[in-house]
Amino acid sequence: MAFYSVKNVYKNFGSNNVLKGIDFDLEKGQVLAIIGSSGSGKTTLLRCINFLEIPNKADIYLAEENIFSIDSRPTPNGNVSNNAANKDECIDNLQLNNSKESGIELVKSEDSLLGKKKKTTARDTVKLDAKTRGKIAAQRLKFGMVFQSFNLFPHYNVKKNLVLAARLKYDKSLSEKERIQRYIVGSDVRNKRKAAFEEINKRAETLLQRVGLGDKFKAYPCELSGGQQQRVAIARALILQPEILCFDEPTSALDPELTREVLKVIKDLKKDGHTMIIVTHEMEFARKVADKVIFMADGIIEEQGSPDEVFGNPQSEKTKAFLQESEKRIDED
Amino acid sequence: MTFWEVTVELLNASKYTVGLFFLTLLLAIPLGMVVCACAMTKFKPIKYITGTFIWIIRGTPLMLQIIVVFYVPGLLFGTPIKNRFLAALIAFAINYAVYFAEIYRGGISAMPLGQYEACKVLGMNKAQTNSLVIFPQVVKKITPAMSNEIITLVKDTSLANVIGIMEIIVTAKSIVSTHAIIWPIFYTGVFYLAMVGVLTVFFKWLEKRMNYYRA
Ligand SMILES: Nc1ncnc2c1ncn2[C@@H]1O[C@H](COP(=O)(O)OP(=O)(O)OP(=O)(O)O)[C@@H](O)[C@H]1O
Ligand SMILES: [Mg+2]
Repeated sequence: MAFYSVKNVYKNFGSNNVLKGIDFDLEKGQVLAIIGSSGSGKTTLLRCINFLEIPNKADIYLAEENIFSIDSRPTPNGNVSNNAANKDECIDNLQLNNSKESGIELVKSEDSLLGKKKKTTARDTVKLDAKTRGKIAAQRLKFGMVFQSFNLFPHYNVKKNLVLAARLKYDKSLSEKERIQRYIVGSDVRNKRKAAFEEINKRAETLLQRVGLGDKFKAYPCELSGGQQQRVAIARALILQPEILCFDEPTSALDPELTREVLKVIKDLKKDGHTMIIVTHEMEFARKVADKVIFMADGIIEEQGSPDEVFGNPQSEKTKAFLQESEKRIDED
Repeated sequence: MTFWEVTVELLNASKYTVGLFFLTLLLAIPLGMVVCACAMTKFKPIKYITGTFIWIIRGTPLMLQIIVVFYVPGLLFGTPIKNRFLAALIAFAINYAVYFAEIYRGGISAMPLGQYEACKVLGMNKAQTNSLVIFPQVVKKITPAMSNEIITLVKDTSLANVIGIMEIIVTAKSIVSTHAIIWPIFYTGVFYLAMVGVLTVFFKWLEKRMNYYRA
C-alpha cells in the first residue's frame, strides 16, 4: 500500500456536492500537485485532508494505518433520511486508529428529526463529540498546512510564531504530575523542559535558515514582505515535523518576484525529502517539481498521472481545455 | 465663598466621582467578559436571555437604571438599599459591563477565521487558541473603543446625583444656591477635563505601547 492513501472522499455543503469521490495515492517523499479551475473543490479537498472540514465519507491511510474513516452521507435520494432507524445507519461509525468510534452525528438529520428546517452552516455539517474531536486533532498534527493568506500570528515575532506550537506540543506530552513539577524551580522536569525548549529554539533557527530568513528571528510579521511571511509560515508548519505538508495556493497572494522565492523554498524542501501536496495555479512549477499531478474538475479527479502525462499528453477534453486556457492566460500576462 | 474653599469642597466631592469611576471599571471589565461569553455561547437559551438583557440595558437610560436599582428592592421585598453609593455602583457596573461586552464581542468577531484555522492545524486547543492568539489581539483591537467608553464613564458618574449622591455637580449646585454665586457650576468642568486629560494621556501611551505590531 502507498505511504498515503485517500479513498472515496465525499463532501457536500448542504445540497452542494463539492467532492464526489476522490481517490489518490502518494509515496513518501513525493510531491503531488493539484490543479483545476476555480470552484472545482481543490481547497475543500486540502481542508478535508487536514480535517479542517470533516468529509461526509472518506477512508484515509497513512503509513499502513487507517487513520480516519467516516461514512455519514445522506441516503441515495439526496436527502438525509428523517426516520430514526435510518438515522442510525447514516451516523455510521467513525473509525480512528482502527477502533470504532461513534461520536459523530449528522446535523441535518438531527434537525429534520425535530421537524425543523435549518440552514446547514458550512463548518459544522458533520458534528463530532469532544472525544472524537480530540482524536482528529491528534491526527491533524501529522499534516502541516500552509495557507494562501499566511495566517501568521501578527502579535508574535517570527521566533515565537515558530516555537509556540512546538512548545505547547511538548507540554502536552508531559504527565499530569510533570505539568505541576515544571513550575518548581530546580526540579528535574523543569530543567528537562528548559533543555527541550532550547532544542526547539535551535530547530526554529535551522528551519528559518532553510527558508532563507536566518536574520529575521526577531522581526514581526508586519515587518516582512508577503514572500517572507509565507516562508515563515512554511517554517512554522515544518517545526511540528508533519508527515505531509499541504499548501493551498501558497503564492497566489504574491507578486511574481516573491512567488519565485517561495517556490524555490518548496523545491528545496523536496530535496530534503518532504512529502507535499500543493494546490497551485503555477503550471510551470507543477510540471517541474511535482512527481504526480491531479487535475480536478467538478469535484472529481478528471485526470491524474505524472507531469509529463498530464501536461504533455492530456487524455481528457476538460484537461486539454483547462491547460490551453491557462497557457493563454500566461501569454496575455 | 472663596475660590479656595470652593475648590476644597469640589475636591472633596470628587471622591464619589473617582470612587465610582474606578470601582465601576474594576467590576464592569470582568463582568463584561461574562456577559460577552453568555452572548456568544452556542447554548441558545442563555444566548437569547443575554440578548434580551443587553437590549434592556442599552435601551433604557442609565439614570433610570440607577433609580430602579435604588428603589425597586425596597418596593418589591421591603428591603430598601440603604447605601446609595452601592446602588449607584451596581447600576453603573451592570450598564458598563453590557457596553464593554458589546465591544469585546465586536473585537472577537473581527478576528479573521484564518487565525483560528492556523491554531487548529498547529494542534492548539480552544483555551490555548483564545488565550495565546485571539485575546491578545482583541485587546489591541478594542483599545480605542474602550478608551472612548471609559472617558464617557467619567462624565456619566454625575448621573449618580439622581439618588442623592453628593458628587461634583450636585455639590457645585448647592454652593450656587446657598451662596448666590454662579461660577462654581462652570468650574466643575475643570475637574472633569483634568480627569479626562489624565485618561487621554494614559490611553495614548497604551496604544503606543501596543503599536509594536500591525495586524
Ligand atoms: N465553507 C463553505 N461553505 C459552503 N460552500 C463552500 C464552502 N467552501 C467551499 N464551498 C463551495 O465548494 C465549492 C468548491 O470550492 P473550493 O474552494 O474547494 O474550490 P477551489 O477549487 O479551491 O477553487 P479556487 O481555485 O477558486 O480556490 C464551491 O462551489 C464553493 O462555493
Ligand atoms: Mg481554493
